[in-house]
Amino acid sequence: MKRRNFILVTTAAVLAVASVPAYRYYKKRSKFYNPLIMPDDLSRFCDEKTIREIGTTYRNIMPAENEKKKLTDLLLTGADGKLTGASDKDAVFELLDKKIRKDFNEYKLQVIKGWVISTTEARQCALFSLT
Amino acid sequence: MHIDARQLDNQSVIEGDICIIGAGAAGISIALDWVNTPYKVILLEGGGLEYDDRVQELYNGKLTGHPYYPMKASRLHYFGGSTGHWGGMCSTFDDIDFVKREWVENSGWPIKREDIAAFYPRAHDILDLGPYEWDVQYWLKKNPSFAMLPFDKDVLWSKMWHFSPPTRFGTKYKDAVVNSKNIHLYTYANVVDINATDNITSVKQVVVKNYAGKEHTVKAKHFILACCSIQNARILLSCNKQVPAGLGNDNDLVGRYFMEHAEIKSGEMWLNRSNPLMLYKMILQTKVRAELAISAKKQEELKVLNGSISLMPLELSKNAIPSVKLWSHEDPRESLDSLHEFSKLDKRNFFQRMFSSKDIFQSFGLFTRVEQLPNPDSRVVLSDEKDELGMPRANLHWALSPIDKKTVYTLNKLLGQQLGAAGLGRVKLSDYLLDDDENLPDYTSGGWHHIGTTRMSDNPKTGVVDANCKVHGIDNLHIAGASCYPTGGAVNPTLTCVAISLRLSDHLKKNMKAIV
Repeated sequence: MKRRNFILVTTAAVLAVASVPAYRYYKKRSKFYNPLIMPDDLSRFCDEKTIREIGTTYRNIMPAENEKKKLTDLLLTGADGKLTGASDKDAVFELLDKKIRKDFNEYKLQVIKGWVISTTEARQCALFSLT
Repeated sequence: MHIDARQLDNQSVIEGDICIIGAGAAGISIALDWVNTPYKVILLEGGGLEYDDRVQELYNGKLTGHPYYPMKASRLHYFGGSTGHWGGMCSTFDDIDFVKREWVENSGWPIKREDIAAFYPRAHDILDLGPYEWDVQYWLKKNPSFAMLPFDKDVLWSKMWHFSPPTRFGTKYKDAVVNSKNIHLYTYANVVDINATDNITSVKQVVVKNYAGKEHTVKAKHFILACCSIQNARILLSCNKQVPAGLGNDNDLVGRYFMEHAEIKSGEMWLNRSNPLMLYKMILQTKVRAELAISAKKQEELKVLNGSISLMPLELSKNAIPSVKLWSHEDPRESLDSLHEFSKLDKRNFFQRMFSSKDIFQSFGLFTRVEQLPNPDSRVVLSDEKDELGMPRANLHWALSPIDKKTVYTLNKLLGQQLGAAGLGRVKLSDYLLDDDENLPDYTSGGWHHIGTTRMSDNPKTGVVDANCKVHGIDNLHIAGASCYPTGGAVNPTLTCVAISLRLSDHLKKNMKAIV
């Protein structure tokens, strides 16, 4: 690889690696960001329209969850049965991050609009579609 | 020794110990194995040492069923056979490919992987595949730029592939064959009939013809049919003077269970952070790479077939045309031109996009290859039309099954699950995987992998050849190559084709020694 190309590729790689934690840090602290209704990873790849469509589809598939309070409770309830306060953004973010990872490990998956997502993410989208 | 059968006196009688019909990967591998032995080996090739369009025309035929590549272009009819347009991708079959799987109808080989494992290293050498190392850990140590996706190996594992240069048998092995004293290569010797003894228990001789109007007979102790799945079936079915259903076809199995690999784009993989995934990438000069293969455990649990996913930067893959549409030329040379044009375009696009504003290593196109269910309705039959030498042309009816689509869906969903569990990103499946059609779409391509039609089984009621590739009921007629596979595995067939042909060669050598 030529020296110029090497420098370009290396710089791009360093920026890419560094940008992920920075993106998460600033996103969490944005006053417009609500982790309860916006799936963190999925929102990198899908625009708001798609997220809303995923949410609407999920509510059609799961009519029993087609209600703001029901979805909020399901999302904020931890594995220990305790409810996390919706106002603590950091706590909500951490809780949902764990729940999403757990869903994937336990095959609690949904395939909606082609996206293979966790049930927790589908519920976040559903709540987003109700806002 | 090389003899052009057009130059022989008409009605010549050729005699030898072993007669190999077909000089492609299987036939040449076997012939090389007999160089410098005390046996006279007759190697019959229908074409010449170079491509000849008039000979190639003999391979023309009819297509019905699932769309497929033109019959004339999907194989090559000259010395070296289809290695002349081979891509060079090789991998080994897995243990599970050989076992009887209750959820896969008509599965199960009469041999185990161990039975051919000893022949893989030799096949490796013939195909110029480099070190005989298939463990991903070896390649991770050898190449520091390789990193394995941290998936549960009981779900998806990184299966290694080797890339042959690719070895063109017609070029590489011509001198070894032609200069050998005991290998007698006859070009322009198209087998048009096989004459059996009156009780049809052994083959007496085969009849060969060419465009020069010459017809000769070849006598040998053993005959090996090594002409590829379509042609092997065509020849056996055409030999219907003594047995109306065709030779070896007492149980209506010859030509059935034609298999390919269902190959299709299956979705997109989006990563949280850019990663070139060098271990999984195929670029210029790639010698090895990995694909993401479904584990045996998951195949059993989810009742699906074997298969694997390869990755390509999405920017490159999203405009890729399905192979079956890209290579639709009747003339194989034009198909080859398309391949070269595509490669050039691919190379140009790659470098253009590498320095474009988009990050091409954050999203990947998924390309899935699965074995297909052995389907008796997927078959080669004889057409009413005859070729210039008077042989009925082949009619290929390729048929897929719903489990093929279920496998593509399941495999890609598992990738989404593993990627999410590892916190690396998400997978989006292609639209056709979400529709109500239980079959794969028409643009599902094959890999030019012709498998089945003379499947192997211990029981003559379920197979044409036995575990030693001998045709049931006929003492001295053997079949070499992928037409003997009862199931196709999820990898390109060439490496195993050469290995299984060497196994047959070994078996015949022992047999010949026993006679002496």
